[in-house]
Amino acid sequence: MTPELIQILTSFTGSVGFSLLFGLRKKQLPVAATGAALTWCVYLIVDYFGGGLFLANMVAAIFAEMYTEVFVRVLKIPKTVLTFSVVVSLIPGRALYQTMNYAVSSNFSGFVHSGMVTLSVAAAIAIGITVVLVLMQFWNKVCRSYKERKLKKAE
Amino acid sequence: MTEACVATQGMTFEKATEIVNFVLNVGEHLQINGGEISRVEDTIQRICTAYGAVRTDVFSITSATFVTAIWEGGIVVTQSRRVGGVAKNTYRLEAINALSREICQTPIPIEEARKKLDVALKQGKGSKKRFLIGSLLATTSYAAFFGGDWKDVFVTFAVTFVIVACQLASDYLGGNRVLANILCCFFAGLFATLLGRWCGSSLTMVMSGCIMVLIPGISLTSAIENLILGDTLSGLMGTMEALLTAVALAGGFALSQMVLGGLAV
Repeated sequence: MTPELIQILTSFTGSVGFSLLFGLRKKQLPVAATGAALTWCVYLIVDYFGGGLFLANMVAAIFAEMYTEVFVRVLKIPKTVLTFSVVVSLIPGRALYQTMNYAVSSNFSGFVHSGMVTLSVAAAIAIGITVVLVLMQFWNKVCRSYKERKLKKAE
Repeated sequence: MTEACVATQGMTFEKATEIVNFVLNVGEHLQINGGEISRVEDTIQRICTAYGAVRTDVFSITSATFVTAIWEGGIVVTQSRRVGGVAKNTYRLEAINALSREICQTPIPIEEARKKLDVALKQGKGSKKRFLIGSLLATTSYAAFFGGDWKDVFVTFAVTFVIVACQLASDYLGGNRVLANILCCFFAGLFATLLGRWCGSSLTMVMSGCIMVLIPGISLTSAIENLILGDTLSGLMGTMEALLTAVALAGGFALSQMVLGGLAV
């Protein structure tokens, strides 16, 4: 089994674990887990085409947020938890651990490097989510004003 | 006469006080169970409007909610609520959400609404078994995800029991969350290092997997969302809390390495 395949499979099972922790219903588990696996696929694809760490995380976060927005509306469930269960594979657990480890072993250059990797991944995820949230806010406003205009015309 | 009219007609100060008290209960439990600040404010506003309030002003942050509702006839009620504790229970969040939708459509009498809220809050009691299985699945999956082999996955599996025991113990003792994180990471670091020395597993892989259930991912995600949606204060508080948790984890891990380093010398 290639490392990529293992990563996709484990991001699926890992997301099931987190969904259980946050009390998602059984019906919602496959949605969250599939989202997490697909998000990692997007990351791998962007990375494969030379996107680099930041871009790959950002594009994957954009995909994850869009996926969440769609299924939150379809399943009519609150957003926060589904967002996390889908985006969880992007969270830089290993880089965070390494940052801690370098800090403990007084390896200053390693600490700075890992810290920067952790921060840049976190920033990439935040930017990805922001892009979709801002677009969704804009879209909701457009839809609302369209409905209001329609109502006024009908009156 | 519809139920809605019965619930909203002839507003008195006592009735208005009960309504505001009820909406604060709804808001508090929404927030505790993982609802966004915007959702809390929106829900409170909608329920008050459904009960006939002509104007409702809500201000909510991670730790408190303030409501002022005005009814016709000069009835003004202001109440505040200190919000504490985090449960992050989606099951309950959904149930409260459904109830608030129902109330907005037909504002049932407040006593009935209160009973329905009590029923919603009894739903989805998080079982320890579910918590353990979820944690085991998450940590072992991410140990393999980060490149660990079967030995690392096995050690991660064992260390997760220690983490879950620490988390349940800290919940039971009702202790400080920062202290709970320090203890979790201390014992996880201790056991991961000792088991690693015994069977040759990689500490990096084991701790990377374990740390995934300890890092405040959900707090940080909702903090970022709050920041973007304009709830700056809640966003900043959430971000600071998440950073503090990360520092506590690092502290716990450092402590475990110091203890074992000391033992090695």
